[in-house]
Amino acid sequence: MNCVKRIFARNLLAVTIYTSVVHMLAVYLNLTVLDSPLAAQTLFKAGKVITMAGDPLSPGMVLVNEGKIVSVGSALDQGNARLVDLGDAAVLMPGLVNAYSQAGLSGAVRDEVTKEVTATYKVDLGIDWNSQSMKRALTNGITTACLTPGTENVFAGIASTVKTAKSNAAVLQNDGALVANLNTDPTRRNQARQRPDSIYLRIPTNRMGVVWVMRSSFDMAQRNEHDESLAPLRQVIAGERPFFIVSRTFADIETMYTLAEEFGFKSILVGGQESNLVLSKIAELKTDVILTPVPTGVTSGEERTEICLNRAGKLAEHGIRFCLSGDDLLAEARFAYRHGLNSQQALAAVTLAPAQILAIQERVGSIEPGKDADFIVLNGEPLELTSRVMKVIVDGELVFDVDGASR
Amino acid sequence: MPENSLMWETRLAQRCKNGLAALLCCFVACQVQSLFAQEVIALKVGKIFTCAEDDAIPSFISDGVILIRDGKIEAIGNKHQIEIPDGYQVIEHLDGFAMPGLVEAHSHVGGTSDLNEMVYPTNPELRNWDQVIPHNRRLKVAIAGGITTICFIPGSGTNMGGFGTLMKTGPGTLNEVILKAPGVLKIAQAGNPERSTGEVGSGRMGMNYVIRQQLTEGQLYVRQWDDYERGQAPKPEVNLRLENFKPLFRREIPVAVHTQQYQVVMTTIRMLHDEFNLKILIDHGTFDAFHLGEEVAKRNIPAMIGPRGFWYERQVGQILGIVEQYEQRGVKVLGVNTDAPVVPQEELSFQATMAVRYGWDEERAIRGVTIEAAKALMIDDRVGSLEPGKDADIVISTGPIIDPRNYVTEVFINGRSVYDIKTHKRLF
Repeated sequence: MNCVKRIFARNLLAVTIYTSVVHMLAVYLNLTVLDSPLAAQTLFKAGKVITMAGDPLSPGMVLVNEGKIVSVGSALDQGNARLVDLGDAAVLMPGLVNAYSQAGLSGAVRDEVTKEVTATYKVDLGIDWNSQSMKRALTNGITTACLTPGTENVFAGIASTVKTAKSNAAVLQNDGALVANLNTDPTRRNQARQRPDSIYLRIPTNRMGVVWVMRSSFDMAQRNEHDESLAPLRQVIAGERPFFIVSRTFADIETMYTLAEEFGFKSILVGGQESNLVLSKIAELKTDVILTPVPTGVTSGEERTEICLNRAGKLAEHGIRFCLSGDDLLAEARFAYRHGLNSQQALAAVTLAPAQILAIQERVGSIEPGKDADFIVLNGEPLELTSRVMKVIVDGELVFDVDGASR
Repeated sequence: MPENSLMWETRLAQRCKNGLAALLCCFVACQVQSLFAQEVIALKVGKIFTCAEDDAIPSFISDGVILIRDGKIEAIGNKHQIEIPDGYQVIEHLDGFAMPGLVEAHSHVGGTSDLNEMVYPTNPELRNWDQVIPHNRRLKVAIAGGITTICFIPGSGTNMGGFGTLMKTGPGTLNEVILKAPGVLKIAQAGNPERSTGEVGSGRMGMNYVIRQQLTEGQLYVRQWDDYERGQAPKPEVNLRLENFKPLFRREIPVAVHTQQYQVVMTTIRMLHDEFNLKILIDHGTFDAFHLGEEVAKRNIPAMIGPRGFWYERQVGQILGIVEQYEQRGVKVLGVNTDAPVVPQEELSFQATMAVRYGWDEERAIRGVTIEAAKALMIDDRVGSLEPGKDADIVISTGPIIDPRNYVTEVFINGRSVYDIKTHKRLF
């Protein structure tokens, strides 16, 4: 027994010495890497690079070092960098940003149905990076997503903005926007006149109740400064936390402004199905809008909203900052483009604009020096129906390749 | 959906976008400017029924002229009395009949259909002005029936459904169309709000108990604030849930009471009027409740009858017109309602027509859907009659609207033409 212990101790010592040496060596090597940066760099080359910061480059090159973009140009010196030639037919563009996503969040994670106000609840611990929805987001080219709680609560909780390819290490914004629902979704399960002991015997059962829950919560948040469960509400009033309000109908969008005036908050409008009926006000008050997909093949949208196919185009005409959201962002951009949004704005609406709205444009949204090396590689123009996402690169690493994937 | 200044701007933007930008823009801009300049209108009408309360203004005016400035009536009278100043846009309806825009005392079609929040029996914290959709599909049709103002209220699913909105039916932003919010409180005293889930309120005694309890709470709250404002008490804490009771207990807005049948209307009179000293309006008053007409008249309580207008009086074996029965008992502030969409909003005048068919006076009927309804809703300083200073809400028709063969030809709301059969498709 003693013998075993001795051997183990000796080996442990050996292992410790060995790792220390390796570690020191590694530190030394790292230093040399810093001294000559080109050693670990990668140069991506493609027939076309859409940077979203100026005109597209044909051909285009992007030099990447340790997951960050170093330089962008038509003819960059390769130096010591590893060259990744994507081919003349390839189009390289920024990874797509979905500003309102529920990828990786199962219903049990994103909805808490026993109460209306769950303002401090966070989605972050419930994110399933291994879920089909998260993988689909990535293969659709969405490299960054703002994951939000669902629509069953009036104050649903706190959003997290993450890289879809990574796990917890790649959270951009863990403690993000407060998400509220000013629509009839929180009323869906609630009903009066069921069994009196039902957990669903609660207000709101309609819009009047939703408005009241929202107003009374803000009122309580202001009165009870020590009530931590309402702290995020105080933070949105103080302008310290972004505030998403999911509203679709004309009446609800108008109510958002009524309540904003009453309590003095500024919000980002999510959904906005009938935002085309409130254009002047949205433009005047400079509200950012995150549009959700326009339904097709139906006569009216969610909550019986009017369908306006060129919603995005109308927001653009009024100079409103907006972005598109959805599980397939390229499809959303193509749809908006087909119905009147110009091509540049359609691409911006799934890259730079959502990054700006989420205030993460220093990190993602365009191909510019200093930003994260998050790209997608397409086999044609992004707004062409036949173009596919061939490769996805996140922080300079290939994380999806259509050739190696089963579709 | 709202076809308002936003839409106008959109159209403007589209025109600019569609090329010819500079030139067309100039042209449109001039047009917009001239629209502002033309906010003085002279309306020449064959006959005017003014519904005026002021003795200086006759009920009937032949060969009438109405001057409109900035959406308000500037002057009204015979063409020999009123000289049309230069610069007024003249609109002629020389064969037409003008009357004030119709006022609906009980409607649910002003916006979304979120009527009843049925978890609690009383809901004074609820309000429906967040649900208003200006100039919505139903209101557009209502305008073609001459309705220019409605009392948009929550439903009668609970004893206290929430606070309602007084609004115009025409286009505009929320601020432009909402006349008064809170406009009324909705209370329901029998029938619909009866509960069956084991809480108090399955019967009328229980319902009256919860209404009284809630009103008492509100009354105490407002008293604390009144005392504070008179300098007799420290400042109370704001209770958002009870805030809207302030205009109610200060008698600035009335309770629109879903009440019908003799016994229930008696409770309404005794509890809400006599005991709590509230301004109220009986907002159904049907079945045999007209037998209380003297009690209603004595207190000068308004009664807006409907949607049902008749009652089979067993003892005499006759069908009686309820409105006429109230009239006979001396009720002065008397009118009809549709409870739209129970009866379509545009059929308010038919409700009056049917009351006339059962014996009501025709002139009283015209007043019943205009000035009397405005008085009941406490907005007769703004609408309900054609008098200087009031909103220029004017309905032009081919003759008295009580005769169902007549139809509306043009409607003005705040001095703006919002329906004109010469340019719009004639709906009726």
